[in-house]
Amino acid sequence: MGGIWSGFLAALQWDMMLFTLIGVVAGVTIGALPGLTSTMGVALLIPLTFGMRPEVGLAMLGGIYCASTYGGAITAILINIPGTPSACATVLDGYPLARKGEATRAISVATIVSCLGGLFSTVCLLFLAPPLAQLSLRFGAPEYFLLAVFGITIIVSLSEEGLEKGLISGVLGLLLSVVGMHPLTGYLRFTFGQSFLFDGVPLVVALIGLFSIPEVLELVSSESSQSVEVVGTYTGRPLQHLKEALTLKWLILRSSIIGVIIGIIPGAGTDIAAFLAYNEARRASKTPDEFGKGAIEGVAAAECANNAVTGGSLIPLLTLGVPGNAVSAIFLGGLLIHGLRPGAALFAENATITYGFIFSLFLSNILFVPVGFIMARYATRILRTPRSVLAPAIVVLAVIGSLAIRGLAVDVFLMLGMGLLGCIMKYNGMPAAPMVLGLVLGTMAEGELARALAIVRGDVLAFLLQLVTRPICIVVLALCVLSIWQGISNQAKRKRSVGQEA
Amino acid sequence: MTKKLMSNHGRLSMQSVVRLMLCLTVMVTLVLSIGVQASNYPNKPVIMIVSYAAGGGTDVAARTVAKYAEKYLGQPIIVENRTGAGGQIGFTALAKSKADGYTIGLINVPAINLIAAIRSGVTYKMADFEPIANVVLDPMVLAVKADSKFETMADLVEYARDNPGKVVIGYDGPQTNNHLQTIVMEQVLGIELTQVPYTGAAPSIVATLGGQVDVSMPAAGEALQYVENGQMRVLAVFWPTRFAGLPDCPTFEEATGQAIAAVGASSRGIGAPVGMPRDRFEKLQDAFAKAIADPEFVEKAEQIGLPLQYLNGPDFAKLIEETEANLQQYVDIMK
Repeated sequence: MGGIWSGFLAALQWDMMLFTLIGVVAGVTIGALPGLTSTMGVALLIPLTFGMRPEVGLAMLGGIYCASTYGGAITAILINIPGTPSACATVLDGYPLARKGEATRAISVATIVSCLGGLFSTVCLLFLAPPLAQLSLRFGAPEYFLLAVFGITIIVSLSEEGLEKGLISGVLGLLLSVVGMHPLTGYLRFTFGQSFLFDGVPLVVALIGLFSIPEVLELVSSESSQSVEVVGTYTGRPLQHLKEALTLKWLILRSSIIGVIIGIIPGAGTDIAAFLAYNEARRASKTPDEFGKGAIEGVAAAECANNAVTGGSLIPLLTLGVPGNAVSAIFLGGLLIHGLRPGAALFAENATITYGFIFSLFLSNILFVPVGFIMARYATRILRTPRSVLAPAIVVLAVIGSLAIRGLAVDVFLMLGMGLLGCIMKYNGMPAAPMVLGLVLGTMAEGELARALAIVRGDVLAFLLQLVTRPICIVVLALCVLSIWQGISNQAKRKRSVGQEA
Repeated sequence: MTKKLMSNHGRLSMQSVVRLMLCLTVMVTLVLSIGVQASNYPNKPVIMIVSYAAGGGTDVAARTVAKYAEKYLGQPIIVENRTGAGGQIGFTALAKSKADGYTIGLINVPAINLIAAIRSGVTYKMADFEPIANVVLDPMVLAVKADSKFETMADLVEYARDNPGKVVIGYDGPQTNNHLQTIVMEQVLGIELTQVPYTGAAPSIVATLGGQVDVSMPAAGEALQYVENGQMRVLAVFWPTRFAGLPDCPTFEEATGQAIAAVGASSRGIGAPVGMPRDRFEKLQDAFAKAIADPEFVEKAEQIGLPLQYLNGPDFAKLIEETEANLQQYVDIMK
């Protein structure tokens, strides 16, 4: 307990607070700019922390991590480009809300629930780290494979316009995820000898193209007024939405738990957590048909879950030295560089630093709220920008973003190609979200299936037996069956009600 | 009139003297500055290409050494991550950049050799690089979970000989140096393991700690913290001498009585495109030699778990050559 108290006092020192704030401001910017991800932000600033006291350096990195995970929501809601992959489920309802003139509401609620999700996960990190860390070691290849399959079943609920079109989009995404090196053998597939395709289609580039280009074309092709049609004159203040966000308490709790669990599992990231929470929110909703058309619950679930990943991913890192995702892998470097060795001893021997860092995470999650509110307050003004200015500005952002991620000029053309695909899909009423899900989870599903089979030396029967005998496998398998069954019955219900109306 | 002329003349001559002096000053400055430029390389920031993602092992090593080399080079070093294709994109970019001493990069041995040997359509060759300094040398180790039934290398070899394919070994990924060392070990010991490549060092270590695989083949520097925490044990180090950070862990030869080629050992050094002026090469080699000897850098490297092994340009070139020759015989198995 003495350690926790000295950590708390350490977090209250002025330099801790100052560098946390610097991290948060940098983080929101990194998150909001497409092409700059949390991983890059934390990695690029690590050298700056060399000269700082360990807890101060870690606090700054924590600020970047929490704030950039949230920052992606701003661009997602305002211009339909997920600023980071964490926000790819946020666009689904965030942008429709902005088009309805409710950008202020969407960003305010996203900010509040992000904060709450982040705080929840930090509490878990503070009090439940050792028992939860054990969970991270129980995931083997069969569990990961089923988790990916479970994620893929969400396609059903993302398919507003009909299951067939959703499935086509999802399968296209899975096919695209096959491009590049085979995860086990290194065999190159569909790369046409081009080295930029060896790692597959980069997710961020695909996201930017798929979401931004079709939207830009729609902006410039509509004949109506100069700016985006903003229905109604909505001039709410951000704080008014605090109450609205708090009425979603069960959704926030559910999404936070999903986020923390996904965070703890090494290798599963913020994007997967956001999609899973989105799906659960939709299943629990009384008006699931509103999802995808501007449901505030959709934005809240995705944003709450992705920030809940932050604390979760630090649990296995601090207790076992096992990084929960790409960002926490960089944190590992940040710890080691100060001579701090993660593990049970870290909490005992370096209590002030460790708990000081954890307490600074509370601050990080709170500090991005005012930044977000300022954005929310003036958000609708961005949407009132004349189309002739807004559309090219979005294209510029999309080009810079796709260039920034790997520094390859060819990625810009890849982005435009994905944009063209997005346009064709949109014209045919195919949703883009299932394709993103296919891209995110395809590599994971394929790699883990191959790995699981390799471990049992290709014995398919033994592998299938594992799926129904390993405890976590049984749980995830049940979730898969439930998700598919509920999805199909919902689709059937929809068809019936449409039939009755006609 | 005469007076006026005189004064006029005087004024003119004054003007021309001033002009002449101005001209001379400008010319002298120009000439001097050109001279200064030639001898005072570098006079602008140097770009360091890293072929792996920001935050990874190579990146952290690069950024740390860059920070100290800046001091001796007198110019900032800008780390540029040109990631993709397991390093091929970055290595190609380095090979194709201008040999003026303003672009250098990290050379990962044997990854850089493996890519060129295994893949088709690789447009760089080892002769395209000018090695400047080796920084890190990290040998492979064979590691098990702390409570594994394999206490020694002998236990493992005996079990694996009796049960071919029963022992599952995890490593970083296909066609990596970890993969290479695993193959060489199988050949030397005459055993057959079930190989499971993961997607990097962290996932394969998680799989080892979680008991998903029986043994794994990480780099010594990566395994170090888990060994010190008591989560992992190292059965053998794939290097002729013991590893400084793991003084109690036997070498492969000590553990099995057999010699083994340490082809998997991962070297990370500095290189540049071939053909830069000699004085610039000397300047770079000197700066990195001093940086790597800097006590502050040595301390930082120890904290991050970077096993240092300085080699100057020619010695680093020799290491690359030897690796190149050694791994040819294994290329076909790895494809």
